Amino acid sequence: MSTEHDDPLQTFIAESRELLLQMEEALLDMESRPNDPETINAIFRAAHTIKGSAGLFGLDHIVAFTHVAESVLDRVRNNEIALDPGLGALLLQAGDHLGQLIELLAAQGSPDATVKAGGQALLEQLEAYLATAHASPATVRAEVPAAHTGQCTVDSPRWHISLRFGPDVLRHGMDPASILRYLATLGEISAIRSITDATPMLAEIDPEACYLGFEIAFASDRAATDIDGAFEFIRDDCLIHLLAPHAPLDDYRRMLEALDKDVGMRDILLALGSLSAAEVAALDAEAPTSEAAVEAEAGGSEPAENSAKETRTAENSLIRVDAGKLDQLINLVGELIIAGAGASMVARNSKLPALIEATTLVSRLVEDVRDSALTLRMVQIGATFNRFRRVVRDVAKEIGKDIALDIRGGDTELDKTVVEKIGDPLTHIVRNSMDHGIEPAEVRLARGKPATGQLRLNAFHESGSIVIEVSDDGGGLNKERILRKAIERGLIGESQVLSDKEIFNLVFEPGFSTAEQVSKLSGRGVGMDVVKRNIMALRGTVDIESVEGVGTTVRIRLPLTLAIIDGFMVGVGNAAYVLPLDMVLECIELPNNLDPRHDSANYLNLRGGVLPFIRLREQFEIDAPPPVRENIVVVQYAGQRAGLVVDRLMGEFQTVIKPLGKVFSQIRGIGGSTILGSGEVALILDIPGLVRQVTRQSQPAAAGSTETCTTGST
Amino acid sequence: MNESARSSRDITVSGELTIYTASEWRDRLIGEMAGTDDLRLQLAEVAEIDSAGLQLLLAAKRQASGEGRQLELANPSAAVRGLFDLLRLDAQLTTDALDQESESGQ
Repeated sequence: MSTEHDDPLQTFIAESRELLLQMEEALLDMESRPNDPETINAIFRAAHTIKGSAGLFGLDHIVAFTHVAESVLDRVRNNEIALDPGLGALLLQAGDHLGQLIELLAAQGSPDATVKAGGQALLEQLEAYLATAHASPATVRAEVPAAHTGQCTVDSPRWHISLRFGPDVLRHGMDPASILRYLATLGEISAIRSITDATPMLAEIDPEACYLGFEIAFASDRAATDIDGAFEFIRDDCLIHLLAPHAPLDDYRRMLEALDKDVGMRDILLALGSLSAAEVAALDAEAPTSEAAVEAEAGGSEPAENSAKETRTAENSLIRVDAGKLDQLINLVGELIIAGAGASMVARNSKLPALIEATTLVSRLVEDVRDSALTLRMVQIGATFNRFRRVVRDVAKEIGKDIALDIRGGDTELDKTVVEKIGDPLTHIVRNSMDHGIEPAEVRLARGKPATGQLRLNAFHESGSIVIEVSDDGGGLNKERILRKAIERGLIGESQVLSDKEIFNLVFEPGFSTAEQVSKLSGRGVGMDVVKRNIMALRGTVDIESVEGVGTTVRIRLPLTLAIIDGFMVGVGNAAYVLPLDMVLECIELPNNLDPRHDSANYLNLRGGVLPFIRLREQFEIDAPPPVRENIVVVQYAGQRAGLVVDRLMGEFQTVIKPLGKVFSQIRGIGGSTILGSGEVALILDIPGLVRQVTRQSQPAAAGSTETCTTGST
Repeated sequence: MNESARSSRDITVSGELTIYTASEWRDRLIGEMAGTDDLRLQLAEVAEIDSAGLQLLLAAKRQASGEGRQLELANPSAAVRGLFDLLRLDAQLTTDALDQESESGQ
């Protein structure tokens, strides 16, 4: 591979991966909705595009393999063979093999003997589906419609090829004349009529648009796929009718309907010798009787083509951007925000109304820029979810369980980096649910559940985070067993009393996995502790809800974005802290009538509810004396409320999150840092951590942990 | 034939007549075709022609007939002849010309 090919090649690899995903998705769709022409078309198009692009790069092994798969798909598309589960599974495997070839290409390797052998085996199986087609493509084509309409076939022993080139063909570098020249090498053009009616006058012509069409009578003994191959690169842009020798008259009728704009087509067909005078007469005579059938068939394929076109245009309006460039943009926006905050501060200090007004406007625009820059990185989680349809299908087959996957909230958007990194942990959780959660069919029936297990992936937004849930209706977690295991492994003391949640979350502890889990998931090399670590690395949390005998829900919470947040700034002593605005519920004044006997009391009565709180002054050991009046910021995370006692409320502040160095990774309650307009550093509070700490503190069972937390943070 | 015997003005098309030069030739032909006289496009020096070039010739013919003028394609070079042969256009183009003559004759 020469180096100048490298960049387009990367694009090819990326596109092929996407196309293979689409193809896999469509194939899985086919299992539930067989014979949907649109889906078949989507599969075909994916294979076709990969083949076409691979051809441009001279990747002959990919072209050769895809060609066979494409030919099989073409037969499916023409209703010559049915896409039964066997063929569906085979095509899925073919897709996997292609994926393998593409990955090898990405790693700049070449297929080894095993891969080649695998490919060869698949090819042989695929070719079995083509065997009949190679023998006599014409008769197969002719027989199928003839069987159900009782139609006669035409006498002409030649192919009839009707071409109407799309306006963009020339601009795409294709020359109709060269295509005909190539066609002439496959057989003999016995008669041709150029359709030039569409050519406008010189004054009106777009010299780079194509207005041509041809009707061709073509004698050839080559296979249908070869002749079809001549139109490989123009298929998407052009209206092509390829009628085999002795094709049913119905096919001609359909073609004429599609070309109804072109007058005199009947005469042309007659002149070319594709139809005899009697056949032309029959064409009109029989049209009304079989109109219904024609209509039905046309109705089946035309809208599909239309919608396929629509998706294509939608795709065309997307641009592929290097993720690095986006990162750079977002970094710059971050700097812009910091600089803007600096300008605003100077303006405020200067007390010049005009300047303050101007900087306010600038900050508002910067805010808008920030939002749009961030949405650039947002992708829907649906694509990630859809990958699991394959995982669930394969694992279910492998372990012999019947499991249905229900996907919801696929249009929920989150940061691309998060989406990329969440795939592995999710896979693990899903596999776990399938392996251990959902019971075998007989157990399910005995428990009065439907035999088919339900697995659900769900995603939604909740106060500045995205929540991803994996739930199953399986056996649930056995608390007793978890407790026993945890005590056995010394994770908890024997006398310790834990809430349900804490018990369930024990499965995320390192070294918890039980023997059977190891054997079943061996080879994957990850346990639930790794899942948790991966999610924590994304500043997310994970917890489990489970009811024994009813099911389990694993809930992952992730921040929407990793880079910039709307912050709320508070002050304690001389220090400033920022917390994510999304998590702030309200701010109240700390009542100074707290019972002195409970001086250290860390909860108060908020409109009848208990609100545990934490004093940031104590948390961060700030020596400055407290002001007369302190404030409480009420925050919420994962359904838990907590109060943070601060000296001053300093208002909203756009915050660019700068990660803290590794040295600070042990500090509790701090999630990152940011630079203020004045150039000072403010710490970003780790609200999930603080809320957890506060709620744990207020639980008598773990009351002793407060000390360890605070001392640990110094 | 009487009509084409009337003085036809020659326009020489030479070199490349392809998608790369199509816009250029279009503008040139529009300029050169200005007038009301009959025309003859001399094609002997066309070194290369493709579908875009062919369309231009067709469009020129159509333009001329729309204005009630004659436009003849004369002395096709090997490249032009090759394309016309492939598409069997020769017959079609001359037929068109004849049709128009007989129409205008009637």
